[in-house]
Amino acid sequence: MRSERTARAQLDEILVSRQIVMVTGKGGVGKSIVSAALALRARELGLRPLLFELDAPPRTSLLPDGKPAGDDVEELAPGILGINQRSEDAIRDYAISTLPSRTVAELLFENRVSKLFLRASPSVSEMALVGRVAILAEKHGADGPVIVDLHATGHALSLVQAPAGIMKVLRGGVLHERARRIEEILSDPQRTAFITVALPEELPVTELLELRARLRELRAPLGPVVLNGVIDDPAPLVADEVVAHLETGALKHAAHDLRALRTWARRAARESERLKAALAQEGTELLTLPFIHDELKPGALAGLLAARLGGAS
Amino acid sequence: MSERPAVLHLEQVLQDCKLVVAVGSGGVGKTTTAAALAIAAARRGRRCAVLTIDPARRLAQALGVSRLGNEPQALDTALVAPGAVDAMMLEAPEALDLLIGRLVPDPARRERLYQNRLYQVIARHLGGTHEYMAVERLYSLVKEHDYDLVVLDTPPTVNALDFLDAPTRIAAFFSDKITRFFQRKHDENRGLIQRIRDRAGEVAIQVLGKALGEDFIEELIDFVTAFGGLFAAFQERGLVAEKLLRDASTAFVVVTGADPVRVAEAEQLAKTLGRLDLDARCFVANRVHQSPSADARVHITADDVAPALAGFASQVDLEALTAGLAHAQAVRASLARRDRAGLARLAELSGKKRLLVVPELDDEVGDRGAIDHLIDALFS
Repeated sequence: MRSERTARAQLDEILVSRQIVMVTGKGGVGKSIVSAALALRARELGLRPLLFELDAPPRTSLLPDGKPAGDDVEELAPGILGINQRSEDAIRDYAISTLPSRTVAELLFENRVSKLFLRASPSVSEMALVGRVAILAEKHGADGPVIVDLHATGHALSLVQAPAGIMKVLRGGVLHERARRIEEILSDPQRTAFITVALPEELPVTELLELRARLRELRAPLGPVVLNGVIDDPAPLVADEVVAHLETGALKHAAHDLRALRTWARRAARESERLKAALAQEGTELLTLPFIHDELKPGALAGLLAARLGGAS
Repeated sequence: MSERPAVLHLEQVLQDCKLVVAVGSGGVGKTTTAAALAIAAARRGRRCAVLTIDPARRLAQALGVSRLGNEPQALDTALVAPGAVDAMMLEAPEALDLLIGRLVPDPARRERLYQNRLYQVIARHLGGTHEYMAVERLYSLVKEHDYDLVVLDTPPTVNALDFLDAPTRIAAFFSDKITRFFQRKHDENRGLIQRIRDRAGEVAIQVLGKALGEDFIEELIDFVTAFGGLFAAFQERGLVAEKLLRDASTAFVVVTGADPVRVAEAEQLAKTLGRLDLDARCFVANRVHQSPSADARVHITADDVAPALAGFASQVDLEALTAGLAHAQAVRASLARRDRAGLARLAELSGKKRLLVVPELDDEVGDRGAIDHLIDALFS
């Protein structure tokens, strides 16, 4: 458990010292709830984090007593800011906040041709999204990190690559300069960290390792790995044959439940071992979060996970 | 297990449709479901293609092919007889090169395009190209090949929406209104109206130039000029693909889980499909937890466990076993109740007739086993 302690310390250090914390991993691994838990943990550390969600579906807040994020930055829960950025608005929002004058920005967006062109051009909208994150980090970063709940793996990579892509095409102009700044920020280990999240299942673990390799190639500063939803065998000392025997009798349903959970727990153990072995080679720490089955409100769930991030057992 | 009318409905879809598009958020088993649908259709005698964008090598293994790529690979006959399934994976940069190779027969002109920085970036470095290319591949699979059914696996939700939007964007990107502004003008005998229009275009170019750098505009003009007549081809393909997605012989299958987050995402997706006037024909709820314990009211005690142990009594720690059984039952019951609520919501959304339920596997069965399980669950 020493490694867990180190990972928790690293995570705290990241929340305290970085402006941008990108949370990424395969779809369905719990990035949103982990992001919410990180925001709660940051608040515990005395910071004022900003939770940056992308195209979040309308849902009840994942924060305890929180309200859902809207189109503008506002306080979602005491001491936690948040925004729900819609990708389709990102270009306009970004243009208004970066171009030399609002008039130029509006000209761009009132002109049907350039509007269509910008919307249709690959990577302009990705660039606008990371641009929005960078601007918010400049504005709020001193009070706490901007915690970005990214889309699935492929999207995270295209966001990271967007500035380089833009710079390759645009050799001058306002956007080139912004792209250069953003690339600098994204690859600066003093300012940015990528937290990768997985579930203890084969595909998410494999995808996480591939994602980390790609992010490393792109010089993205990598933080510790969060393995979410780890489940334990409910009766590790009881032999399979005992369970099989029980499945033939009056307790067959409960015994079947035990076997199903055991299968799940063994898969989880196998995958976390595989992940640990791979991460050990690169000297990366792993932090595990438990699978929580209680029928909890999302806010309570994030609260429990945040407590685990803080070292509660 | 799914209800009978839903199974019959899915059978009908696989029988009648020419294109099935699997959409859904990440991690719900969309790629596996797409493969299972193609295999199931083949077992009913159809010749199918499955196009995936997910580079999960494991799926290739499970399907019995060495490695999926742009070129179609036939799946093992034993898996698909009496029909056939060709599987392929979209690799965007290569796919775009292949397409240009087909559309531009002149090697010098082709080389100039390959060398254009804008082209290189579009083909290799930028996000978004996948969606364009998926549409392009779709066009070629449906229009130029002779498959009875094409099953398309799409990127996870948010990107999937981009994908659905891609034909329109392709059409917009390559529309005359835009490209005309950027193409070098060779025709000097333009009428007055044309000149006024061109002037408006130049203003737009100047504004873009300010924001994007003059260099870029030069490069863009080169790119557009080099692409020349290709725009019409791209645009036509975009429009045809869009028509295809709206065709009566196209079915969208929403793949989801039954937990609240997934159900909310599926709901969102169904709404978007509706807004785009596309038809969500079936919903597949994957990895649904089911357990008779969902309704168990009695808490298990050592008094229940002891008599059931028979000859094993001496081998086990009764207390630990009892606690384990009670815990397992509680976890599974709560998951099953959660998923039951999710299924009820999905049924409201889709109509019971369109909802297929695939239970979570309680045993380790391996990759091929998982595909078989999926097919069994979908069709029985």
